[in-house]
Amino acid sequence: MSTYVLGISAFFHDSAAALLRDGEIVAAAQEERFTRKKQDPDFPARAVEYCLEAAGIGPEELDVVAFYEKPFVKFERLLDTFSGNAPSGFPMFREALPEWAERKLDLPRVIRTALGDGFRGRIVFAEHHESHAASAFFPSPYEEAAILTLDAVGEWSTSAIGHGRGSRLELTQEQRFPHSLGMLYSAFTYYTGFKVNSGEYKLMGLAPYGRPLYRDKILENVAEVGDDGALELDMSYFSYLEGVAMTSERFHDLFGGPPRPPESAIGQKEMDLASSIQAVCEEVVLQAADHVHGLTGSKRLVMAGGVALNCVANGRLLREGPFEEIWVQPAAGDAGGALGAALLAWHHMMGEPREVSPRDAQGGSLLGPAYDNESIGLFLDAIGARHHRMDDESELVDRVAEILDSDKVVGWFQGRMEYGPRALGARSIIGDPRSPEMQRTMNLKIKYRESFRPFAPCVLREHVSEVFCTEPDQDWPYMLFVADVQKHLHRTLTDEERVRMEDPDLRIRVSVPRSELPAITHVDYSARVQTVDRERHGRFHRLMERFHERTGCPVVVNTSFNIRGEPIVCSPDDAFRCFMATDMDCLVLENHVLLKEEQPVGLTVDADAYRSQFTLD
Amino acid sequence: MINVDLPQRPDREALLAFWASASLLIGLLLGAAAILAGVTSAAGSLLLGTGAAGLAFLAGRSRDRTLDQAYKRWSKATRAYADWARKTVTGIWYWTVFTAVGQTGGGGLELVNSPWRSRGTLPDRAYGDPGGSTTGRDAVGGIRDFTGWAVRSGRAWTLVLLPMLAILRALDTRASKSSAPDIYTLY
Repeated sequence: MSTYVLGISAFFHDSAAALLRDGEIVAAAQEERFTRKKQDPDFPARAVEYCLEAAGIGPEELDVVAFYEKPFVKFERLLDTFSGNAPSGFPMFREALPEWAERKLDLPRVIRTALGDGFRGRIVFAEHHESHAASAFFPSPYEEAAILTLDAVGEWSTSAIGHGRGSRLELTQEQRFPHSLGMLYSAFTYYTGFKVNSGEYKLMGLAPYGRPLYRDKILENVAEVGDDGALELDMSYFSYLEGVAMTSERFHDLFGGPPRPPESAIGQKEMDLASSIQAVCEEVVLQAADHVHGLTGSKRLVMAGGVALNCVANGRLLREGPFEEIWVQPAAGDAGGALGAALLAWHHMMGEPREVSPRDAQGGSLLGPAYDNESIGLFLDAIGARHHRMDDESELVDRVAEILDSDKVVGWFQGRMEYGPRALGARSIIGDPRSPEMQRTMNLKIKYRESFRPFAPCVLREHVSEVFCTEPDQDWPYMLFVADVQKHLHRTLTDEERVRMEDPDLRIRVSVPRSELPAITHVDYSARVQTVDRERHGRFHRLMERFHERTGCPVVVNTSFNIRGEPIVCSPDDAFRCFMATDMDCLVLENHVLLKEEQPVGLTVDADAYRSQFTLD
Repeated sequence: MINVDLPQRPDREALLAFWASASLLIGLLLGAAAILAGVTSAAGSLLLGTGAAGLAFLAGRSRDRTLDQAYKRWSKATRAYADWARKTVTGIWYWTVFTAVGQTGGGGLELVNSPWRSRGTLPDRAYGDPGGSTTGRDAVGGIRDFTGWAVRSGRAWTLVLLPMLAILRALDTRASKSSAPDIYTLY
């Protein structure tokens, strides 16, 4: 009889559930994908339902439910923050306490109520950073590794380091709230006019446009960084302890004015600030990595926590840092805590051994729901959509490669949905990276967002080093590292293009092709690489092979299948609505191919109405 | 305690449930008023109340639009009440308890010197506890967990928060909660 452990992260950011059967990851998904509410923090009822369904069990068969943090320890931190900032901390107190009274201080009741009377198992509580650490180490392909977790805050810890070996991990050092690299980065996210806790990746994307002019100012005034990556913030520059905003008047005075209003024009100052905080972030990560390397002597590092999604820092750490290999949990944010908590319960609490998988145990992070051709066909017939069922896969990939080659944009919906914030070829919008117009088309007509960021490339793993400055056969299946485009693919800019590169409007700058693959090349020639291999990616790999055979290009543009503010699509229904509300040309739902031009007028979705459902991130 | 339920989108079932409760209340009040005024006997008032409740219910059912408007007004009023009550209750506790604790130097954060600190890994027996206890106990839920944590963590003063937490739990205002876009949510 199998043992089932369910991990849950909830009530903070981006709730999720993950299920283990005898220690093996059966399923994992974020609640936002089902409820269609971006970063839904509510109890992940739908994600739990999916996980149980995927395993073919009911709640009565669950042995353990593991929550990803210790609620009362976090409550201690809050109480100390409230009392330490009284009387100015009332706004946060007023918002926070009802949530704690209603749910967070009585999680066993909440969990048992949600799972129903059938559940008779044990409820346990891991620690936030231990959950992150477990999510990074246990699924990694390493028998032994150093561990580094970096985020904004969990209970008290804001970062932690340690070591894992076999089925045990140990965190030996930590830094504590309010001194936090994640909070520092979020403060600059807020100050530069992006939304906190979702706009951090935009700041990272903005950084190559600027120069790190404010780096010294940050390190001399706002944050003191030790040689070992220990970070000490001067809290007079921040106001997040009072719960009003991230930064204080003193911060605004130091950097020359109030925060940029959201959605207003981005100026050179914001670009330079982005470049500066990115530089500081990279330095802290490198120093912390050096520190943990010195303590453990390990050649391999595993990472998790929201800061570990900073793929520019990850790329630099791999190039310049002391570790030979690095593995980052693809669901590095709080959603991944669900998986980490379950794995901790399995290996630590239950004492079960671990079998190291040479490729990793994350399964390409394709752990969400899949839909069969029959149900998709019935759905399409029911709504009256015109579709071509192509059961011959060779014919299908041939057709889609041809569509991509004609500068068209394809919604690609195949197999199990991704667990984590990145679309990795299961719920992706794909296009031809050689097209100079592709970036603009995808950004403005499909994603409905600012266009200063290039898209990520998917590259056939066997060709990765031909296109990017990586090791031959580099295995980066989770889009968590940045590498430069190979020099021979760079374009020499004309005089006119050089002038355009100085334009204050970033949309002008980004439209200047930097390489033979303009849609995926950033202004500094970098790209956020995902390798695609035969074993993990199946049909997606075969499609890319066909595209390569046809065009000589082993790369496609890959962006998440959603519009701005929308969670990545989960079901064929979500995908079809997104397809009809945007200028996508083709939708491939498993074996069903839909062309936009063939769809009945009555099925058109009003783009404005569709967009209005989602809050801009 | 009043359990204030704040559904976002009233559907037909919610409307009928609301109106059935309202009709029953009308009947009860009318029956009680009749007894107090000495107009009828107990049996008569029961009959009167039941009849009034039934009529009110049928009248409401036949006029969906009126029912919908009544429901919305009620929902708006309860939401406003719940928000007001939440602010009042949290305000009273914050301005008394937390300000006092803060002024006396209790609690508070250590804002200086944050080098890497030594820490241990959670002992295997400590997973059952929602707090920091390593005694191997499992969560039992509610007040007992809170009390146990408060005593063990040296924060016995937080027991005075229990009445506030109970009131806030009764005032279920989650439906009206909105997250601030300008700040990383620390809770």
